[in-house]
Amino acid sequence: MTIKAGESVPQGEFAYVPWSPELEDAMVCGSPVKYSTDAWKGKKVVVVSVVGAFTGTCHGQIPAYKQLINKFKESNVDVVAIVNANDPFVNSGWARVQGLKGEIIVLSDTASKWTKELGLDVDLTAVGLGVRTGRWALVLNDLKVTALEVEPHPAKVTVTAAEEVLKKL
Amino acid sequence: MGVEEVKGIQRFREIIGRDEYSVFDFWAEWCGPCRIMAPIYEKLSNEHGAHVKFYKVDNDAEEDIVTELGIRGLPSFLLFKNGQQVGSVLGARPPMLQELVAKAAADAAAAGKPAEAAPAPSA
Repeated sequence: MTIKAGESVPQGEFAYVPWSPELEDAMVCGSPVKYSTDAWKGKKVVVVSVVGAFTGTCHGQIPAYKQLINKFKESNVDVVAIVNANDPFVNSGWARVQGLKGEIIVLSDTASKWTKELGLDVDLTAVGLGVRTGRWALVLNDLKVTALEVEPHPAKVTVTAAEEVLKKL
Repeated sequence: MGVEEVKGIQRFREIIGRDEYSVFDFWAEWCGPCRIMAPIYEKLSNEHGAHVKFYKVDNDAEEDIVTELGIRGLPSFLLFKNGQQVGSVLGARPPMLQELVAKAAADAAAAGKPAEAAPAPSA
């Protein structure tokens, strides 16, 4: 049921607000565009799922990906994408709060639909968050899984830390 | 001169393909900065409507157009001529929009002058 290394990810469609410098002031409203996993055909991609924008493990995980982005590029990673179940407007704000300027994109898997197909969604209703995408990292090569790391506990960052995922490239 | 609402990608393609300047205001109901710009855009259409055609596109109603153009922020003002996008302003920036439109209008006005020195075509 859960995706495994060697398998191809199912096709998925996300919403996201592309970054532009104009978004930095309040005179523009980001407008979500569609983003498909088709964009990852033939590419090396790192997909990192987080529980939610601004949630606990606050500023704990993404800054390292931002800091190490060049190392990812050096390992021929074409796209580093963060995925969560927040809507694209929240994600646009969250990305900007973290100083992301498009080098890492934040994609909304709004009903955790694609993540459910991977078998990686988590039900965090008990802690007031509902069904979320969980905390995991996937390395894809032409849509095929070459590495999958799932945090044993979604509130902690261990195997999905940027430094650890770099080792899996 | 007024601002015409554009509905449907066929209509949109037909308009931008013309040999004249057309400017489009991509807006949405939920977009505050769009509301700020609406009266300014209207005013510019009155000022320059003779040389630039003014249109608006509802981002939420015209998914085909918006997707084709890759609209990522609102308001977006896009300027077209002969099927080509020749200018744009992203966001509620009155001076930049003013400049975009004024330049196009001046260009259109200059091109519209009759070629007085040209000889009459021979029958």
